[in-house]
Amino acid sequence: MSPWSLASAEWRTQRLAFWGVSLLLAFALAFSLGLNWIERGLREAGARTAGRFDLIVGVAGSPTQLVLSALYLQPHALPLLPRDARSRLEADPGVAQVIPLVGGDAVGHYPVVGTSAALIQGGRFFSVAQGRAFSARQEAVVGADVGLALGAVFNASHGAPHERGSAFDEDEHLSPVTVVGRLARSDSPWDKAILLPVEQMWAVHGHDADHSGQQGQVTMLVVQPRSVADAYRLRQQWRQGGTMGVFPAEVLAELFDMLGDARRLLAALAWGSQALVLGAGLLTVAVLLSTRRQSYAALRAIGAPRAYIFGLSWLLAIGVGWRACLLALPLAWGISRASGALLQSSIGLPLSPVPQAIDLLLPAGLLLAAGIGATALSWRASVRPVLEELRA
Amino acid sequence: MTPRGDGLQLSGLGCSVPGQGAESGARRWLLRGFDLELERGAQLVLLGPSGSGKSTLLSLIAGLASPDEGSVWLGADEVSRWPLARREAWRREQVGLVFQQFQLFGQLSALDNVLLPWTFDHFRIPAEARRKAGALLDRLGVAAAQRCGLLSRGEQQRVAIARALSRRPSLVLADEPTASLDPAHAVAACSLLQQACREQGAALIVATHDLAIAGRFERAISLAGGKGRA
Repeated sequence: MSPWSLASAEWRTQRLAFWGVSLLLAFALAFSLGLNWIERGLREAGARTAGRFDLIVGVAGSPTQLVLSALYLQPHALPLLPRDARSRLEADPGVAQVIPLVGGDAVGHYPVVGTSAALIQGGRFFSVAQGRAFSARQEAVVGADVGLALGAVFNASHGAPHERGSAFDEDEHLSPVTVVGRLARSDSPWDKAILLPVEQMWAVHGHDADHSGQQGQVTMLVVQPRSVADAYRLRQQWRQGGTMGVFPAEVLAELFDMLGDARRLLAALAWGSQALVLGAGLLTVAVLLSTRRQSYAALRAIGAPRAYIFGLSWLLAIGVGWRACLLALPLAWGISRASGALLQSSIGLPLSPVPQAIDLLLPAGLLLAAGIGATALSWRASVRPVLEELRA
Repeated sequence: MTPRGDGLQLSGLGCSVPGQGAESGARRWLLRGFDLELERGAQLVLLGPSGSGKSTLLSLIAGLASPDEGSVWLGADEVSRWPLARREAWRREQVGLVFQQFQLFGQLSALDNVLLPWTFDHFRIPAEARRKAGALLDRLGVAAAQRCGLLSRGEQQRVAIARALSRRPSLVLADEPTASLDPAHAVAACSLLQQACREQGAALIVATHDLAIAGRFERAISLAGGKGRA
């Protein structure tokens, strides 16, 4: 028994309808899969970045803003820490290292971070892949993706990345800075950062040694505690007196939990829309099959066994489902790549789709639903009175 | 009733549907108390206006519907008592059906339509069947490779006849086979059907309301109000 020739003839003559329904289902499936993949990518990228810093100290306010500024170099206007904060932390026996961070400026579209050489030495936080760490105020180290070669000279400027043009020499107030090193790739927004000595940043802001007041102040301090107990003690201790100590991983976990709720809502919406499109697809298949009622009845009249009718309906419905699945996978990849690129340009976090074997359950479910629909329709076709159907 | 010979025998055949309106609750008989004997290779025409029970009778003979009364015998076998699958197999192997609207598959070629009944129980169509189907279409003057949807009504009718004969049935049932053809083509199609059945030794029952067609048969039964009269 082979309904293949009849099914393939149906596909040929109704190709527009079959491909149309397949494409609709494929898009519904692709959005659902793409959402899962990019959400996983976001989690992985977030976890990768969060692990870099143990404890960050800043002025009391939004922990999320502080962490986003430190990890993702988002240009938030953060207040300055008290000038003795750094020295107090350095004097704490539970602290192995304190590294200042001053952000908010840009050269072209590259965020500028004022820090100390300790951040890029020793490999604890970042490491230099080419050249060396800066050792003087007029030297800089650039991230892996910054379009400045070693030895390049530029002028640092004052302003957020998106407020500036792409030129490297816009600020006439500054002395030229030379690139002396390039960081190893970190798969984080720091790949697009330009790192300067914090003293150079103070100079940019007119807080040179000759000016009193704000010299020595920074917006954030990256703290490396000696032990886990020290980390918790320091976090507690620095939550008083107008400052806050935060664990980036903890803040990101809360943020992702919150995003997770939104994701679950989006996933529910995606499932809902998928169910609707699936229903529409099944209805279309039902309409397509019902237009062949007379043909099915004729097949039965000339001796087609029920299995033949079932086989024909299955081939037609599974044909739609199978095409939808085959189209959905590259579509999902494209959708998640595009949204990853969009997010990357917005938050600077490199995102790649992360498919997993469990995702195959979704297309398998679609095929199962198509199979169930085909079974129901062919069962109906096989129990209707032939004579009545022939006259329909 | 005891069956005689190896031909077709109908005994007290009756078929009803639920009554409507004033007849609600009662049964309305489409056909009742119908008797018939038809020898192997014989040809018969059923005459009658629309609603006289011709199509119902053909569907009962073909096993497409079960009678409420009486029985259909083929030789010593009571066809009307066979289970569905056996009746399907019987139609597939022993009965050729020609419909008023032909019921061809427009997306298939003429040859594929003729060979369609073979695909119901064969993964591979026998080469001999394919050769004979091609020869039959050739004889009927239809291009085997042409898609049925592109053929004229007359050509489609000839493909429908070829399909009914493709598995060399012992019985051919044709329900208003010429109703959608003009008179000249109608007579030609009927003549073709009769001749092909004679050559294959198949019995033929044609239901029609066309007296010109009926005149081509030696034996006729008029149906009216579900009753037959020779």
